[in-house]
Amino acid sequence: MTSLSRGGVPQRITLEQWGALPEDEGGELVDGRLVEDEDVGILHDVVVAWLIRVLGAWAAPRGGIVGGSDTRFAVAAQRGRKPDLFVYLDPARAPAHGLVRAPPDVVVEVVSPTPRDIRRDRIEKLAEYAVFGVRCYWIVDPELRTLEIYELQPDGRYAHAAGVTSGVLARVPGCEGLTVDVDALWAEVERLAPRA
Amino acid sequence: MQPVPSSGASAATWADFICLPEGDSRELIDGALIEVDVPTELHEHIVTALAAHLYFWAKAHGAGPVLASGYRVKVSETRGVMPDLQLYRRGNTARRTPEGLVGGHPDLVVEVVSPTSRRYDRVTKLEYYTAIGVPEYWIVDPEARTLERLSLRDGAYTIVQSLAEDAVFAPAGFDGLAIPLAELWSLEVEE
Repeated sequence: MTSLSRGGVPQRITLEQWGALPEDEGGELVDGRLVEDEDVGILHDVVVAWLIRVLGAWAAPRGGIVGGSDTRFAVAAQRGRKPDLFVYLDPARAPAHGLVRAPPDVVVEVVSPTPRDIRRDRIEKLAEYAVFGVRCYWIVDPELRTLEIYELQPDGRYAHAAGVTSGVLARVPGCEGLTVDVDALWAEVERLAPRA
Repeated sequence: MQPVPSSGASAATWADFICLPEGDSRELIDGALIEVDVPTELHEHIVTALAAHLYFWAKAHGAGPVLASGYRVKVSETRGVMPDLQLYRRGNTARRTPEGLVGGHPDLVVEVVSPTSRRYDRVTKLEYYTAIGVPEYWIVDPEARTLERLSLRDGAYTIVQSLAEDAVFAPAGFDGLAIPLAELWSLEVEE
């Protein structure tokens, strides 16, 4: 399951070592161990790209910046994650190189309804992003056709701020002035060939 | 499984919902009668195990009733559901009729998700339970082996606990209740 293994025993690495891995070295850091990335496909990538366009168009005139997938975030002492999409309203908070230690304003994970994804994105990452201080956490499941937005509360917990399966989300919690046409997102997804 | 009201015909209402024959497990989702949940053996085991824990807790703490699966809850004229489990605390003034709850809310609702119900449990029903003010909502996922405990605060659900695998679930506000989650994921009933 890990690429940094010696004789089948995963080697423990630090956050700094993880942050310094070559760009093409995959994996997230979970309690000092390298865990392979989620298994993504075109459905996942099309949804990420669509959201980057929508969030990017919203963030740009507000001075914000949007990025995707391969950035390494130091979310806790021995935990490193690579969210599918992130937004900084103040780009000066994020370093141009290396491990990122400043929580983005928005993090998006595009998920599938598999036990592994549910555990990682709804239990583990939700807890990690809360401690890290990510203000808004979006969970998008294109197979279930759900978009959920969680907003960090003063007590450090996430509150369910929005949840939709269709229609237009006219007011997006935590992103003033943003509208998300959820029907248009699913229409984009439906242009792909159905599962064989 | 899209909630599409039958075209042309008027939307189904609470009156239609409570007249469904026994064994018809469809729920009233925005004016459409939809089979949200197709329970599996494991689903039923989890409901039973949680019901047992909650029943004996309620009995020891003067709470109750604890109702499983079939009891209907009215959300609005065109919205009605049958939660997998509901618990009422002492002093709850909800208006329960033999056919269903027509006013107020349970103090706790539990949904055990299935592949078909997942989107309803996490989005649609979550909105319904927010609307009627259910203070506590637990979402159990047998496939992922997770339990999320949501608590209503200022009109929105906060995720106050999220557990996986063999954790022991001892929710605040349920003094003395401790549910080893490992009991839920296996059909074996151990002493």
